[in-house]
This record gives sequence, structure tokens and C-alpha cells, in this order.
Amino acid sequence: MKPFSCFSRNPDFRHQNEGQGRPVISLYDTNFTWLDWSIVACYLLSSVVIGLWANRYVGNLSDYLVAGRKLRLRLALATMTGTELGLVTVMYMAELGFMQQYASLYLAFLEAGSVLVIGLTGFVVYRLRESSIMTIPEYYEKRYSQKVRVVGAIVMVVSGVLNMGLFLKAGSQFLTAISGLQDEMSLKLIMTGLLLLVLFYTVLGGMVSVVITDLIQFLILGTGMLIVTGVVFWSIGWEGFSAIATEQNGYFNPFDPNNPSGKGPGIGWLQIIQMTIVIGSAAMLWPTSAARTLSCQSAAVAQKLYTLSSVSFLARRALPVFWGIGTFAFFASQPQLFAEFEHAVETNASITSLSAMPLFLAKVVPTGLLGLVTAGMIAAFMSTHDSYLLCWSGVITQDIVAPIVGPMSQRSRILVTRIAIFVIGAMLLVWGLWYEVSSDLWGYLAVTGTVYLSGAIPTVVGGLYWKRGSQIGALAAILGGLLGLSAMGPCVEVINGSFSLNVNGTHLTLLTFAFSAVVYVAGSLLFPDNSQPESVGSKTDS
Amino acid sequence: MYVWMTIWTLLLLTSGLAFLVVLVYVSYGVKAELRETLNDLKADVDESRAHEEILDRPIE
Repeated sequence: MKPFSCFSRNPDFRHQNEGQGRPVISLYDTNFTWLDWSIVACYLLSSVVIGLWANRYVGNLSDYLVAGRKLRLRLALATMTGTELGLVTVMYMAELGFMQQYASLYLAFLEAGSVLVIGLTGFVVYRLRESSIMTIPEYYEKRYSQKVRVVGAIVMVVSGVLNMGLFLKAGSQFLTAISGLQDEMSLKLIMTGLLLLVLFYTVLGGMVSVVITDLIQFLILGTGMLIVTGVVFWSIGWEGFSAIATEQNGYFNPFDPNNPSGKGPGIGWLQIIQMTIVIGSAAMLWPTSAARTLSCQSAAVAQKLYTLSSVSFLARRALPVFWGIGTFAFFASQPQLFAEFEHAVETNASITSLSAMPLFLAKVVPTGLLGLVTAGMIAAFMSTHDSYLLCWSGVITQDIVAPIVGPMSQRSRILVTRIAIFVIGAMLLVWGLWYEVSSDLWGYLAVTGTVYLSGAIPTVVGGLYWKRGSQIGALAAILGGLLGLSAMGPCVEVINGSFSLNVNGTHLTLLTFAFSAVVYVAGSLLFPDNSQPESVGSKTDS
Repeated sequence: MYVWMTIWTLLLLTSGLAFLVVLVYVSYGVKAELRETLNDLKADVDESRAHEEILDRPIE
């Protein structure tokens, strides 16, 4: 299929091919060819080689987990973006752009704003970096007690592994849609192979290979994303994007709880408040972001990193939403194709609303460029996996196993970390192939992230800025975060059915944050620590 | 609706342009930074080999 041959920059695509002897577009048409597969294979092979080569720079656990705390600003910025700009982010933001059109851009605004404020003020991140810890749970022990560290680490790992549980499925749907492969089994095998590849070079090189591959991925994917954005705009045209407002009942105002397009859920005030809290908390304390902070050379570099990262965080959400909006414009202008897509969602287990964007890109992006973008996206997928795997396995080793078992050698710690990586990988495969998400993917991520964030926020903020925070308060807040599990789809159904309520994930998420904050304060006031804690990570006056 | 469209269009333009600037900023100096970082790490590795760190000594 020739690129751009199916339509001109004209919103009236439905009449473009009819009666003109040109073939009607099929849902599974794609420009993906053997050339694109070759590009992807070459890229993945080179990632393995780099992982092997990077092993020579791993000397001790600090090198393995935080790159020896040697990251300078540009490298830290590239690797932070490389981790956070994953295939999953692109997929779920494009999904929201497809279902909620322009209104979904409020998330980009929220995240960029949060990160910028944190960067300008140094709130939390400055003091955390100054404390010279390697993980958030390590801070819990320094400030409160070892018990808080272990409990906090367990909740963090539960939340984190659940959170990344659907990454594999999202990646599978991307590859299925973009390559035109419809055989579910062959895609499952491909994704299993990719996961094994990630495990291989993560285990070998730790954070050092993560840093190097993140850098390459940032450069390739970043460039690819800008080019694809241009292709999307060229394909749909200004008239096509305007037609969303004039003809297709597009959704623009996120404060309006009703979605006029009818292609997805509405947003509204309450959800905006929920996302402000979730995104603001995650920007400070989501472990992978914190890991980058803790890898920086100094607290000042960490603060600068956040300020500059606000741009990357804005783009990582806004550009994929734009692709999703383009996808909506493309499908909305071709009712037959839209109907075929909606039928596929109902009948084919491997097609969901997540698949819309890659199905669209497969038709408009030319071969060669499609391979490069796919390689970049798969590389980003692997980059996200290796960073998260390293993060959670590091927490398991340092913050659960070591405190319980007692003194452990460096060699033992690295071994336990590597074993944890494989165990988590196996769990991801099972969960990703089995769990059916009931809402959009972003909704699932916000809920599972809440389990950790709702307890971490009062515990860390209180620990850094309130001397009266106690270990009982911290334990209560962290365990209170488990209430966030009630916001998962199946649990919401049970709650509404059992108690004749009409609550949703938004209500329960907000309730969880409020509950954790209240029990932290109440627990600290009612059960103070015996002695005043030392000031940990306090900012020195200049 | 047109007010919102204007706001979102400006946001999209800003994000695209700003991301391009970040891409150029990172590309410009990252090679030197990577070399310095890898040299620092190599120095760490060489030093730990020279002093034969006891990897099997239990640490808290």
C-alpha cells in the first residue's frame, strides 16, 4: 500500500476512493514490510551488544543500581525521558486522544506544570537527593524505622508490579496492529522473546546499560516522534483537524463531564482533581523518577533536571494525544472503517481502543520510516521495562530481603537483584496475558499507582517537613494505601453490587489519598516516636 | 469551543517546539558527558580491582 495514496488533505475521505477504481481501505492494511522488520531486528541486536559491552563499567552495587551517582545533566535528562517516554505512554495517551480528543490534553498540562513547579521549588526532590539514599524505602528507615522500610517496600513492589502488569499487553497490541499480524499466538511469542531480551541485558549491565540504551532510545524515538507528528498533520491536514470541531462533535472542554463524541468516557471536575493529585505525587515519588533524582551528581543537578524535564513530560503526553486526535479524525471521516474497527473490538481479543492509533499509523507512515518508528517504540518499550525491573528488584534486595535476612555481601545483593528481575518478569508475563482491563489503560495505571503513592506522599512529605511525623503514622499511611486496590475495575463492581452504591475509580482513589493523609497525621499525633528524629536531608541555608 | 481549540493548539505547538529544543540541547553535549561518566565509572572499577574489594564481606 503506497503511503498517502488513500486520501488527500481533505476531511471528506469517505468519497475519496468510492467510484474511482481505487481499493477501499481495510482495517488491517499496513505499510509494514520486510524492510521494516530488518530495521527492527538490527536495532534490537545492537541493544544486546551494548548491554554486553556496558558490563565492564559495573564495579559495585552503586554502579549497578544508580550508575555510581555519576550522571550529569544531559545524560540524566536523556535517560529520564527515555524511561518515561515509553511505548506504553504513547499508547495510552493516544488512546485517550482517540476517545476524548482535545480534552485529554489536560493531562499534559497537569504533568508539565507539576514537574516544573517541583523543579523551580525543589519541593521534596532537593532534600531527598541531599539525604544520599539509594531508594525511597531507605529514606523510610532513616527517618522512621526499619519496620516502616520493609512494609513500605512491600507495598511499593505490589503497586509497581501491578502497575506494569499490562505493559506487555500494550506492546503486543502495538506490534499486532502496526505490522498487520493478526495471529494472536505469534505475537505472544514475539512479546515473550522481547521480554527475555530485556531481562538479559538488564541483568548483565544494571543501571549502566540502562543509561546508555536510554540515551540512544531517547535520541531515536524523540526524532521519530517529531517526524511522525509531522506526518500525521500532513495526512489529516488543518481541515481534517478542524472538522473535529465542526462536523464530528469533538470533545474539547475537560471540565464538561459529558463527552459529545460518544467514543469514550467524559472527564469532569472530580477526575481533574484526582489526576492532579496522582500526577503531582508521581512526579515527585514514583520510584523510577526518584531513581533518576538519586542518580544525579548533586541536589542542585536534580532540581535542574526536573525543571528541564517539564518539557519532556509535556511532549510525552501531548504528542501522542495529537496522534490519537488524528486517528479519531481519520476514522470519523470513514464511517465504514470506523464500524469495522468497532466490530473488531467486540469480536477480536487482540483489538481494543488501544489498537486504533497503530492501525492508523500503519496506513499513513511510509515504509522505512515506519520501521524506524517501530524500532524506536519497541526500544522504548524495552527501556521502560529494564528501568522498572531494575527499580523493583533493587527495592526487593535492599529494602525487603537485606533488612530481614541481615548483613549481606555485595555479591549476594547483586545475585538477589538478578533473581528478582527474573521472577518479576515471569509474573508480568502471566498477568499481562491473563488480566482484562475494564477501563482505559491510563485509568488502570492511575489506580494501581495510587496504592503506593497515597501512602508515600504523607510519609515522605511529612518526614521531610514535619518533625512530629512518627513511625506509627507512617505505617498507617502506607498500609492505608492498600485501600486503593478497591478502585480496580472488578473491585468497584463488587462494591457497587454489594452496597448498592454508584461509586467509581475516581471516588475511591480520592478516598484513598484522603484516608492515608488523615491516618498519618492522626497516627503521628496519637503515637509519637519516643525521641525526636534527626533532620534528614534538610536544605542548608546558603 | 474555539477558545479551547486555540488553547490546545498552542499547547501542542509549544510542546513540539520545546521538545525539539530539548532534543538539540541533549544531542549537543551528551557525547562529552557520556565519555566523562564512563571514565568516572571505569576509574571506580579500576580502583576497586586495585584494592581487591572483598565482595563476600557482609555489609549492613
